[in-house]
Amino acid sequence: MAALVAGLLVAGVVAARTNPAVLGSSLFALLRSLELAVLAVVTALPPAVLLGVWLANFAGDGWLPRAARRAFDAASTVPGVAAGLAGWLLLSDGVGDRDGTFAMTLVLASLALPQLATAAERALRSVPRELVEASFAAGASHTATLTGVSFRWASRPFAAAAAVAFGRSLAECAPLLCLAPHPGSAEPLTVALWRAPDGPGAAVTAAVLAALAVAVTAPSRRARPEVRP
Amino acid sequence: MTPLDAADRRTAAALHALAVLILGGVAVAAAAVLRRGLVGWSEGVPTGFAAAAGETLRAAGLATLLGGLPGVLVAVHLGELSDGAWRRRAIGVLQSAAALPGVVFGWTALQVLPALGRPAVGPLALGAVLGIMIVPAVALRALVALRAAPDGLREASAALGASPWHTAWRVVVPACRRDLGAAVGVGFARAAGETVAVQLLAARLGGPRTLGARILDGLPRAPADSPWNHSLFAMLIVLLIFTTGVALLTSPSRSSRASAPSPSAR
Repeated sequence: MAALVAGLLVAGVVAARTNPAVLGSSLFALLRSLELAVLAVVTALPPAVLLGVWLANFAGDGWLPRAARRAFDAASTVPGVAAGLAGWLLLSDGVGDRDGTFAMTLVLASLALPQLATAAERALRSVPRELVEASFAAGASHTATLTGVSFRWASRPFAAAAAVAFGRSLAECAPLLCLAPHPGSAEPLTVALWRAPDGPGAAVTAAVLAALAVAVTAPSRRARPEVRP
Repeated sequence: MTPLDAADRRTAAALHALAVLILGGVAVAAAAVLRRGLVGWSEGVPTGFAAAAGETLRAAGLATLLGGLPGVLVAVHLGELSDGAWRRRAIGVLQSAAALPGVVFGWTALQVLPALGRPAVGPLALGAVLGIMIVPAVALRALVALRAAPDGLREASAALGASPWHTAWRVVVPACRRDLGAAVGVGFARAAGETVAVQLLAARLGGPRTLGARILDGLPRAPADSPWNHSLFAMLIVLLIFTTGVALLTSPSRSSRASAPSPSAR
């Protein structure tokens, strides 16, 4: 796996040195990918945090939270093409959405939401009980404890999960292909690589995607030091 | 436990309403997809469905054979038998590899397979590509499963004089077998649901065309609301059964974690 990632990076550097002109198109694709991923995560973040708070602190163990947890677990295995097809069915006639940004953002956000909500719940459940009880003993309400204590404790693991969700949004291709209006419009990296795998810039595009994969997983390595069980 | 005050109750009610709204929205979207898929099935078996379903199962099965077991072995090695900087670096590599897009795996296979003297892609080659793709996902999921095993098991085994190797294979792995099975199930689901890499290999090297690849191929060409378009949704329902259905069947319920008392839950 390390050789695969390293090989992709080296091939990209060699291709960029051989033909520097390809860097421009890769840069445009990178900006489009970043635009869509940022929009998707920003869209998904508020509802995901609120769902995580609900699941961790207020939902209890009724049928609705159980169904929500099961649905979020299941959503992590839903293929991207399924989300893309659902987006095509429900959003492809979006008024004024000529380049597909609105539909793509919503589909990517819907893919990130379950992952972020689950991460938020886990992060909030990881807050030490002593901290919470000390806050209650000091007279704080549940809401004040949540905002003043739990959020601060949970922010780091949740930020790592958000980075991973950002990475997943950058890596998605099938849903974007289902929603991409036509070749030639602003394309993210994955779609550009799919459309022209034999093109001169393909190696650079693949290398940029590999570099992004390494970059987005770095926060999770820092946030969750692997402690031997 | 501190009871909820009036503001807390308002917060809880608002969050509950939001959850109902979001889950309701997801249910409506799923129902719309399901409805169109059922329309597709009511119009007859989609053209090429049996071949595509067979290719999907064969590719995912081969990938699980070739990638599932190595993934679990890597997890056992990293989780139980290694330590220190090597372990941290190896997990970092797995995380980065798991974040690689499927299209990158497909593109790499396009470059590598012809160079290896395989100008055409058969089921075994496709299974191998997908198998390599799912190793990181299976390994990371299996690592989480192993980490959840109680420390008391390891300590008791060590107190009886067992080596780390024996403890891992005779105690920890059997205790986690359901969760490890779920990790392999996720690998199967990921392989069955992979679309772009498979479509690239099918289009460029004549590889097998799975359900996902057929859907991706057909969507831009099938006129909206045509029987062809409906058949794509019909195939999607089967693809969801192969992916999410299998993953749900193999996954242990999260109810044990969910029912654990949360810090401020009532």
